Amino acid sequence: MSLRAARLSHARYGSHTLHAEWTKLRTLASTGWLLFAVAVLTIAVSAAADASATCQSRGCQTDPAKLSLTGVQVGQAIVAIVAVLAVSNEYSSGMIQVTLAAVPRRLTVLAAKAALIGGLFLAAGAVTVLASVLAGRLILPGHGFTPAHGYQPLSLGDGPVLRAACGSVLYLVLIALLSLGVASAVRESAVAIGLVLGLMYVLPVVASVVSNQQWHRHLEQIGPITAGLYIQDTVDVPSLPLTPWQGLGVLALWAAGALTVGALVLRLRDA
Amino acid sequence: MNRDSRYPALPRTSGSPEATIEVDGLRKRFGPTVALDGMTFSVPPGQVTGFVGPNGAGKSTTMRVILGLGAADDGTAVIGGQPYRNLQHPLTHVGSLLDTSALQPSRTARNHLLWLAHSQGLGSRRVDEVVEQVGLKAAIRRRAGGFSLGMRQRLGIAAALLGDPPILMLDEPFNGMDPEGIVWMRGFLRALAAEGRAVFVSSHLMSELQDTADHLVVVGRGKVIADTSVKDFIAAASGDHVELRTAKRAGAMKVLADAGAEVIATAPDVLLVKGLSADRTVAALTAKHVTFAEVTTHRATLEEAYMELTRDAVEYRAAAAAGGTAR
Amino acid sequence: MTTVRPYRSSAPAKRNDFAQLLHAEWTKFRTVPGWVTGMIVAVLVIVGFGLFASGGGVKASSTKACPPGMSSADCRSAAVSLAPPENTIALYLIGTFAGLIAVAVVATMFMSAEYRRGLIRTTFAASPVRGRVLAAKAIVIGAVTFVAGLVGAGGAVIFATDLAHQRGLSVLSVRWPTELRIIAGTAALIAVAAVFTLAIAAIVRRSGATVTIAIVTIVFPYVLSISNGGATGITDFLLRVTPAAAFAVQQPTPQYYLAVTSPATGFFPLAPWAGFAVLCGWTVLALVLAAYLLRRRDA
Repeated sequence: MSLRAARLSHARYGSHTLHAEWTKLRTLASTGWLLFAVAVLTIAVSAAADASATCQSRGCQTDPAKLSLTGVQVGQAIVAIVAVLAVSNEYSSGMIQVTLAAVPRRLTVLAAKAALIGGLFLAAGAVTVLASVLAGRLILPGHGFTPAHGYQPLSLGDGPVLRAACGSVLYLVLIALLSLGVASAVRESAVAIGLVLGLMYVLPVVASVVSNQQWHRHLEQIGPITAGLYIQDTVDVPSLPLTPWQGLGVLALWAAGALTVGALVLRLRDA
Repeated sequence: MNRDSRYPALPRTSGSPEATIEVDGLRKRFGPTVALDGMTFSVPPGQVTGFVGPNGAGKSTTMRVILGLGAADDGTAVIGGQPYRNLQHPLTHVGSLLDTSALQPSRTARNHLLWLAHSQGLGSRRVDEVVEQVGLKAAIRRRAGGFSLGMRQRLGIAAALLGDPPILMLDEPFNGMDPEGIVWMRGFLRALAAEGRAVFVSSHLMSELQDTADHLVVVGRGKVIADTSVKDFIAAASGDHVELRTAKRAGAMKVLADAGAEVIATAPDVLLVKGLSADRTVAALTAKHVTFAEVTTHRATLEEAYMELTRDAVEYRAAAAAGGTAR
Repeated sequence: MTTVRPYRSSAPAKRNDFAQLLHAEWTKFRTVPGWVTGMIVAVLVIVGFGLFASGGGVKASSTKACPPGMSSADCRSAAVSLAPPENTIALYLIGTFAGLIAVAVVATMFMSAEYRRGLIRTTFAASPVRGRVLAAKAIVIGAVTFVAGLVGAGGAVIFATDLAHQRGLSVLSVRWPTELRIIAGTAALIAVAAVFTLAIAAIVRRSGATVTIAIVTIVFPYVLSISNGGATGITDFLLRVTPAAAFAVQQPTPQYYLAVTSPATGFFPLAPWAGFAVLCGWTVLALVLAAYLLRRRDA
């Protein structure tokens, strides 16, 4: 084969890399189990939250869409782990050297992993979120969330509910990308998971202990999880510190930042 | 593969009980794979015992079972009559090196030896002694993760020597060593054996062991195939032969056959002569006025003897190269 | 072959002491710079959070959870008559969970690093009695994290209370035995959680899975209850059943009812030592399983 013919165009190079990354991911048994766990855990926790909520009369303060999407806050941890492992497994086994020998353009590798993980959770997230909303539609009317109390059954035809659902899927995708970036920067799986989960859980707690209203608002606005979860709010939206999509945008910024740092580390450091 | 009848079984040594490894009838499976199939041998003190076999023969598994790291399904492995886990301060009885990369990369090499020393009640003075012995003094305070292969081997030997044990067990210590390292290792191991220690070295390359080992335990497919001294092993193999280059092939063949040799023609002008030494070959040919161009003595090597013996026991063999170009 | 006199080791014949094993494990721990740094980070995080929290108090959340049995009318009047301060020193220890994340990472690595490169074989060759190795590791990590917890919790309480007084904020004062219980209890909580993580690492052997299990079972329920602004049904259940129940040691006075009840104000569903016992129970179970698997499995 002549060298000229062997020189691939960018597009083909990228698609080959993507194919390789997909093969890597789907031939790992743990990937399937973890995705299953994301779905099951999210749906189970959402259903449990639905079942434990009650509405006695008109005007209870609960947001039914957000309630039925509570499980996302648990599933996100597993999403983060899958994304972290997609990178850190390569470093712990030493396979990164093989990967980079096969595909020397390091940013292409990262981009392929990001596209793959993003696509994977777009699909898995859609299924999971749909199931959660369905669970809410089925369970909540039995717990007092009836039209008599001012609550229609959850339906995707309803604008805000659709926005909450689609936004939650995007939310999971962004969490995955954020974790991917952190793992690329840090390389050790335990440390990366600690950092990502710490990032997820620390800021909301910090925000809740601050009594200074202004500080509190700002902390909620910049936290990746607190801001990102605004996308799920369908009740009392004007009182939020940011609009739902702005909140998701904050999370997107965090993910972009993490991916940038990860790309820099990948590019500059020895494998 | 049955025990080869050319090699008589050695009697169980009772010489120095605490410095002998005795393995009897070990069996172990990993799922459907049989790793050990009745492994039986002894490692006595005062000599270097080579543990040889093809890849997958069960050498590393045997060593791990001896150290109590894996449980055998059947059979016993004892050190001086005791199973490993009953030994007080086991590193003062058996020093072992199984995997040179079993190191924490961010810890310095000296600290690696230090925690090992502490586990046996030894101190940093002993650490410095063994470091000196293996010649790692200059690099010892560096991160273990930055060590080259040869340095890791030396570090592993140092770790094995920490307890000053009468038995040393090393799994493929020559792997990846450069020629100078191999020469050093060879001399080092022989010196340790000369001190009266039992040195047990595994390898799958005979050429390394040829000048190191005194005694061989050859294994294949989880069983012992031969258990004999190196000299006897080579002698019992196909043996030496003479290579003769001559234009007068037919004449030479007749003359040598009459002289009692076994002659094989391997090329139009090359004959393989077995059963006659080189000078007797030359004498026979000149007596009958058969001219020849070249006579070479070919000494059997350990490698050839080993290949011949373990031919059937090899687990993994690459398909013979067809000689064509790669696709 | 000339007979050579068999070799005798020159090593001193000491009794096989557990103390030597402890010494070896301590050497192992202190010689890895990353793990030592992780401990320091944990302490700094706890103290830092304390200082941060000293500047404010708990935000009055919109959910009102009254203690069981109280009617909502009484609940509202109680909220009025009981004037806040809502600050208790439990607030200053709010960073415990964050420090716990760092501790979980270190405890995981302390065990799983042995499996990463087959170092576990070297360890077991040096000390073949595997149960003792697990015990020694547990003691070392428990002791180190206990000390770190004492320093962190003590420091957080002292500095934050100081800072609060300087700013003129009132802090609910507690009797010194209670304060001691809170600080020592926090240190104990961190230590036992570290041992729990170590045991999980021995069972699971993979660092990613271990750290996840540790954080999800110990930290997550606590965080959930705080960020959701109160003990709802599910968080209440979680705070009783999961190892996170141990955070109950941080509650100052069980009888103190506020309109807002959440761990942030020091209100937990279980009594202090009951909660700690739950964590201890989980840890003992994990250790037993770990010891069993350690002995059964090939190294």
